[in-house]
Amino acid sequence: MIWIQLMGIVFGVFLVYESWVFRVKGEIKKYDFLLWVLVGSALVLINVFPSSLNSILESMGFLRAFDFFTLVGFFLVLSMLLYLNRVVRRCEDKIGKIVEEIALRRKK
Amino acid sequence: MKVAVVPALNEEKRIEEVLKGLRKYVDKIIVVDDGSRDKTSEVSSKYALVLRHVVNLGKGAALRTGCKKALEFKPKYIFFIDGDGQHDPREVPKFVKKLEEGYELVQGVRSYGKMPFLKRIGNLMINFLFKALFGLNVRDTQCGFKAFRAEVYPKIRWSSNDYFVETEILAKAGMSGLKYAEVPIKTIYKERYKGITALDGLKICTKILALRLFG
Repeated sequence: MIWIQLMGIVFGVFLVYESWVFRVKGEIKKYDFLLWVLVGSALVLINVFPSSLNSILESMGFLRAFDFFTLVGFFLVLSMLLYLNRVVRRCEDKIGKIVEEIALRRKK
Repeated sequence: MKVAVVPALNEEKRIEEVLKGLRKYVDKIIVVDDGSRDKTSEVSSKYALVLRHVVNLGKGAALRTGCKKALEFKPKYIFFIDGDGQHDPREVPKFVKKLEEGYELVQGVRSYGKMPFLKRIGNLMINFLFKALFGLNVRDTQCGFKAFRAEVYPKIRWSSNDYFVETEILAKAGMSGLKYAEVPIKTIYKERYKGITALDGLKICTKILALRLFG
């Protein structure tokens, strides 16, 4: 086992553990918890059995698993950025509406 | 009826002077305290109807809240004047005169002479970009002293929460073909680092481009 695999396993376990902690504290919903546990578990499994992906990687034309993960990671980060941007904008709009509503109701 | 909307943020020291001057020229003053941490609301409440944003949202949001309230009074003209004492309320009649001549939106134009150097450069850049993209000859897109007929509000209604509001109003007025006039005004710069920063200026430039491209 090489270091990069070990790091992947540690990170996967950490992801599962943190998801569980957040779930216990009630900070994330069941669906999010399951999603992150799935991602963490997949990370552990792939790093323990790296050859399990070979057939898929070959069929997709990737020479190395590392290239595949880099590309998937890049897409994942971009998607999350877009999602978070949308969430922040929606929150901003909602806060704006609430603040305006309060101001118009509670005049001094 | 003439209603003035005054956005204010932490202006307890200056707003009283503005409101005292302003009440001679308008029938109703609405101060929108945009989340001040000082006594802006308390000071203003002696002279105006005060609406308070519990958190700071920005100048555009404050003007929007004030306008919504102003429209409840069914005014003929609505005025925007900054709460920091940068504008002289005695110049309100100049705006009224132009509105009575039939103009729908009247914008104050500050003299560049007394403007701090960096502000002057930033303003010139924004004005140039505005002219290039909207074809409107606006000499001062960033001046907060303006007046308009209440019935044109739906045509210039803005979505910006920040300082871009000034540019957005003018762009929408231009796109709607409103009768537009400018009046020269005096500007008093009391605090060097208040108002639009260089970063705000850059944001305004990118938003002008976005407004032109996506409407």
